[in-house]
Amino acid sequence: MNDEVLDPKVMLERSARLGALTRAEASPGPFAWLAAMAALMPVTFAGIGSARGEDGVLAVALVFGATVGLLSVTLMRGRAFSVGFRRRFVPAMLAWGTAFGVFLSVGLLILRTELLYWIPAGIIVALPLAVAAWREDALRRGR
Amino acid sequence: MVAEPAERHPRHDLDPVIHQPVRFSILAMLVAAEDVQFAMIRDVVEVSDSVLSKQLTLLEQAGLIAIRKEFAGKYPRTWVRLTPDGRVAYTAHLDALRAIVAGAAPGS
Repeated sequence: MNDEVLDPKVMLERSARLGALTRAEASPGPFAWLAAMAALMPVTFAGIGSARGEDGVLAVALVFGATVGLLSVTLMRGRAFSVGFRRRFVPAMLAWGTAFGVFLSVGLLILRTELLYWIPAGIIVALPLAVAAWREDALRRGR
Repeated sequence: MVAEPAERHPRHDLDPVIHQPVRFSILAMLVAAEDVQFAMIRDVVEVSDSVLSKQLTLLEQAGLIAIRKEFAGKYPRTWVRLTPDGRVAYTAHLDALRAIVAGAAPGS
């Protein structure tokens, strides 16, 4: 890119083009991560509910941890993050973490093998992630 | 005797720090994101590492951007973001450009 002073119209066009390009790079990773994490919750919780013994629960926990790690490495390695992403991401993670901790604790302590508890619990725990994913998608589409 | 113009021309509102094309392009990217990696700016703006570093330093000294360095494993990563002052200044610069374009439009 050379150093010339450009026509104002050209500079406005350049601003719009570079802005759109950056926004396109910034959004897909976090959206995909949040959506995949939301989908993972009911599967994980159903897995815990149907696991046999402590070894089964441990196996589900290991698979869950590995999946989260893989998703984070592959989807959260973007070279740009959208405006306000941190401001939206932190409350979403706090809401999810709280729901995850509460439902997991209650389930493991009281209702370990009750699938009728674990399946809806997994859906409820997925909600903060699903809402966050929906918001990222809406912002990406300019809604 | 020269008459005083009725209105100040909007070109006077252009910020010389922002108006330089490489710096303008950097800010055009940053205004659309919260954080952008050094490498992405370099690739999109199509400048060398040294040119980009120099321009980023100028923008940082002007208080328009903030630079954050971190490590991903062994590899250093540099993130760049627009400061609140930078956002205001860039928006004002765009407004001045729009005013110039509107003033130059036929019939205006």
